[in-house]
Amino acid sequence: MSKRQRYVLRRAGAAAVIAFVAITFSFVLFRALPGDAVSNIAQSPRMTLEIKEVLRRNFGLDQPLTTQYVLYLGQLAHGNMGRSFQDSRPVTEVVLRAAANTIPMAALGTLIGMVVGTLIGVTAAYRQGSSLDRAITGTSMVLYALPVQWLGLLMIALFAGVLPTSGMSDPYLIDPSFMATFQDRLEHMLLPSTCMALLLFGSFALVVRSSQLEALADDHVLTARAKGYRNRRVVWREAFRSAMLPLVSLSTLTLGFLIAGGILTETVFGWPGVGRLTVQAVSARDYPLLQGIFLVITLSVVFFNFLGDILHAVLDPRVTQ
Amino acid sequence: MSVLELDGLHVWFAAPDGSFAHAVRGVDMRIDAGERVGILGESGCGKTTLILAAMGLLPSFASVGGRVTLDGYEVLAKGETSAREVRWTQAAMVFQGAMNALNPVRRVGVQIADPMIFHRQRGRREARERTLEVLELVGLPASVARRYPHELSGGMRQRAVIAMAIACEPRVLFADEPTTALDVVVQAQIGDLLCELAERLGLALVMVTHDIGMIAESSARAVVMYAGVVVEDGPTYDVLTSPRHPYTRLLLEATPVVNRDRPLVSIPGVPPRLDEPIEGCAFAARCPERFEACSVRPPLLGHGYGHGHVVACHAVLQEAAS
Amino acid sequence: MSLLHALARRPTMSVGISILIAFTLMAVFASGLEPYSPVAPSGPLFGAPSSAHWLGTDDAGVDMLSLIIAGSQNSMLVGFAAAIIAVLLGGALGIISGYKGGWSETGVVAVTDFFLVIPALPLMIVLAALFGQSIYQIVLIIGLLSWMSVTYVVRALVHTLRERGFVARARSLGAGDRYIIRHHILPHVAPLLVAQTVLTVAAAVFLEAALAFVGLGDPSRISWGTLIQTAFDRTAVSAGAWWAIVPPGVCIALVVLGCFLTGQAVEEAMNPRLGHAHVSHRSFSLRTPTKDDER
Repeated sequence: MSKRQRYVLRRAGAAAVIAFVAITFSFVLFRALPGDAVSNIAQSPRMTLEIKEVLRRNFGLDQPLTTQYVLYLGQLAHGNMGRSFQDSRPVTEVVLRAAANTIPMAALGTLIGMVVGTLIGVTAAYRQGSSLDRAITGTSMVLYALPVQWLGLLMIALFAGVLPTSGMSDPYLIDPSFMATFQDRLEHMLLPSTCMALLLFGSFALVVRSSQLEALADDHVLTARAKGYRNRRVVWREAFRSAMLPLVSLSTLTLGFLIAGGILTETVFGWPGVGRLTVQAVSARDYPLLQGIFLVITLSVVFFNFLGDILHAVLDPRVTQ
Repeated sequence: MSVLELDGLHVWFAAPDGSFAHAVRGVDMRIDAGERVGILGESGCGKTTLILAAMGLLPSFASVGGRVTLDGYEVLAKGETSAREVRWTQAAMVFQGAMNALNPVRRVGVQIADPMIFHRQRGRREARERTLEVLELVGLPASVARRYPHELSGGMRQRAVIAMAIACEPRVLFADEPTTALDVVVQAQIGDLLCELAERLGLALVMVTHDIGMIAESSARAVVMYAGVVVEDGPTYDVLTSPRHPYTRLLLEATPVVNRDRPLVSIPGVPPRLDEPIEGCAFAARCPERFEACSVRPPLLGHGYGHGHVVACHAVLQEAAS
Repeated sequence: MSLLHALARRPTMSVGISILIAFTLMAVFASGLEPYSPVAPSGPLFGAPSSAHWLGTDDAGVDMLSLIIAGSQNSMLVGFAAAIIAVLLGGALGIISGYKGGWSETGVVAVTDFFLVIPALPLMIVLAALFGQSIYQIVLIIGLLSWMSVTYVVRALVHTLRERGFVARARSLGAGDRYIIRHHILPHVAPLLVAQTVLTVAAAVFLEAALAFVGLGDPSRISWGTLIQTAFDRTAVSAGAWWAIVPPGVCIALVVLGCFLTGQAVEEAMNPRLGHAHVSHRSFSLRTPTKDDER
């Protein structure tokens, strides 16, 4: 087995371990809690002791913890994450539906923010000291410092009449064509995606600029210049090629958290995705749902981190040593 | 037939506070095809800046004055754009610390071959053949081409960098402290390799170093620099055995010799600040032979003794005239 | 101290620290600075900014400027307190794991990596929902989930310090671990801890606002986060009352900016970037030597 294959296997093993620990952690967090979840539902005056007991048994809360844990693992292996306390729907279904809403919006915003932020960062590094560089750095710092929810509120205030500011689609569209639906969805997506993009753009531009400046001072960049290559080639194929290594980890981590949807963004814009679902689940103390959301996000991050490790190994031959 | 000519070369570096450091102060030099020249001097004397300027590899905060002519072509006519024309195909450089001169994420063979393809000298297959050719010239096995820089030892990396530099058949090869980061045995090998290559390929070799032993071994001609000017220039043997310039003399005396029991000497004082104008000779303040003229007019390179041996010193030239 | 000298010369440092000092003073002297009561109405509902009320009034007629000043107290308090917890914990873990190595290091790295993977804000939301939303609990929750990046950088620094001669030398002279850590490691790590504290303050202020926005802030206290949440809930947007929305966000942004500038300045002063870019949009210039330059 080659060194590289061994490395991939090692990282896969580490990811599997972390995933397992995360699953257990999730269980511990949501089951071994003060105040059993049924008690919350049991606030209703018509709740008798018997109904409570039935509920408890239905949700498996009357068993000892270890039994619950084994059951939990078994269920997970089948993709069953339990049932929501609020409406008894399968958690898996609820979370997946929310994820299907989150992913297009968050992906659009995240990818644009990352790509544009990177381009701007490289440009600023190349033009270090110029007024453009100062403008870019200043703007990026400001964007990075703005609280997301506040930015969202501001965008709503600014674009209220121009673009839809809430929800994912227009409920009043009657029998719409595919194009009409598509356009409607896109319009609704524009503001929240832009909000996410602006946020990421700031931090990415700063990190990329810093990384690229260091890379531009490397000796092999001077060698490339001495070889007669033009500046554009030196900046991208020599300097950025080195600078992007630490960025890979940052990017994959960002992508991993994409599915969390931006709790704040989705709440501000009323976007029915995973982020808003989390807030709803918390206020309803819907622990199975919370557990499911938590798991999905964590597993997504673990997976993307693993991808990041692989990508890093592909891009940097020094890693597998 | 001179392949490289420096005429009145000056280099200034701008500091953040607006002042300038005058790092190279009017250097004239002619180097013939196939000549092996060693530029000697302490840190900060401007020798590295000099050869960087010859290829136009100065940073953006530098300004350069004077002329650099490579095979009749004015390298600095239009600054960076004209300098780019000669890079690697006419003049190449081996940088200090080869560890970092190579791109860590690309294979060595690719780094050697790419410039040839870029400069349209060869197609891909021929470039690959030539890569193996130059690897052999520097004494490296062909398998090195598939390796990454971190997989090679320091000496092998330095050889790879040399192979990379000669790939496009330049007329002049600059080497900036090519052996400083290596252990002694490898140092000697690299020094020999450079000489051998220069002879075989008819390259002019300009080696910058503060290692007197390296100059003695590998250069036919020695140029001594101090504070941005050339103070002595002549056949290595003459310069090292009968130095004329007081600085050269003191420099050689300060070099510790292993088998001689002698207290260590050093040159009193420090080199002058380059951001202030210097009146007269730059070395005057520390020179044991100074007299009135030394602080008034800077000395010009003139013939001392022997053929092709010039010195920039009022005392020496006065004595030679009489 | 040369570090202080290097810092004093940087404009980013002066701007950053001035912002932070200004807001800290505002928080400390809040009750003295408020022009009106931050709880009782003193003007019209959603009144626009006027000479009497510089930042207008909120939906209950309470003066916005007083609200902002009062809010600074809790926001800054949470920021600093949580940051101190995070840095003490993270710093200790970083120093111990970086210095000792071996199993303790592997353990700390595993734990750190694990917590980096857990989604922080969702977890904080869950913990706040579970364990209560008083300001003390919020400080703890934020502090106990923000130590990871501190551990990361401190561990890296301790590694490089360990490589340097003085640790081995001190050991060979018979110095014990605690002595070495106290006298050799800590002085070098201290500036980094300061920088990390400041950077964590920014994160903590932001997280407090986030928690408040989803309804998990301390209901009995005013903070910038609760002000934004109120603006959202009480539809300040549709009422066109921008003065209820803009100021708290601006304050948070300024504090975060101030922290970022200061933290960056300290870290850059600790590790000055040696070397210049080898390519840039400008290239070297040509200059004709003057008579003075000619020999």
